[in-house]
Amino acid sequence: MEPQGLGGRESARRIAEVLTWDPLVRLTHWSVALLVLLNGAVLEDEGQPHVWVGYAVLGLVAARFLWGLVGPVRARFASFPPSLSAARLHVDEVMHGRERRHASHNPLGALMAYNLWATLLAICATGLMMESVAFFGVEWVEEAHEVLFGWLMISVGLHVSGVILESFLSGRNLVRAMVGSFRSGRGGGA
Amino acid sequence: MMKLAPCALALTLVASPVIAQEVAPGDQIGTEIGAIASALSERGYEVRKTEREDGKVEVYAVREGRRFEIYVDPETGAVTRVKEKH
Repeated sequence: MEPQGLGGRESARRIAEVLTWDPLVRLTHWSVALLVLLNGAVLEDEGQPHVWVGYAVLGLVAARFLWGLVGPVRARFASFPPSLSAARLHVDEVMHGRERRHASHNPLGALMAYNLWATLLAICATGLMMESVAFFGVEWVEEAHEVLFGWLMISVGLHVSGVILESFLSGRNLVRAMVGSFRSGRGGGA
Repeated sequence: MMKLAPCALALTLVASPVIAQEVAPGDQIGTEIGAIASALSERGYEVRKTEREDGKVEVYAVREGRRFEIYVDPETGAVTRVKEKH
């Protein structure tokens, strides 16, 4: 996708629009958020429901991973490759109020998405290890599981802050893209 | 075959106490973590972790490929609960 150099009122209107993510992206995003909240704050660490919820998270991340390979173009990994230099450029653009529109995640958001997925997978992996005979009761695995969860919480904080800050600076409500428009035929435009 | 029978019987008599050493609630296995851990090791458990939880000693142990959480009352030295993880 070529970044568009937009100018004038028409493009201002277009840049104010936020495209809603496809249903699978939205479903996996909110389901994972809900299940992480459930496992982190509601369910007992040692109970079987905690394990089932962990499997569900793993399944949802796996579904999103497949979607990243075969889903709509905007949801594909190829549309938001991890790139530090692109992320730096993006920060610079946002700070100077001249952000380009990105077809998929913006480059900074993309890094956060990969970080969140990697962290979730690592939490699931250590959780599965704790359920195995080989690593049952092995302390470093439990500690890794907890430290990774701490990192996930920090990441979620940064993610939410980033969404709020970027929405404020760019004048585009990014939350809408993940919630979806409740009015049919309107792409979540303001 | 007839000559083997007493041997088999003798083997069974020797072997059975070893087989029947899985711990059960009520067994006295120790009041201190060190004693509890060694008692469990003698009974064929591989002790992975011990911790104090709600006034009890909780032991994470593996025996013959099965995962157990064993709770011991450090006051009486008795096993209060054996939970096998499935």
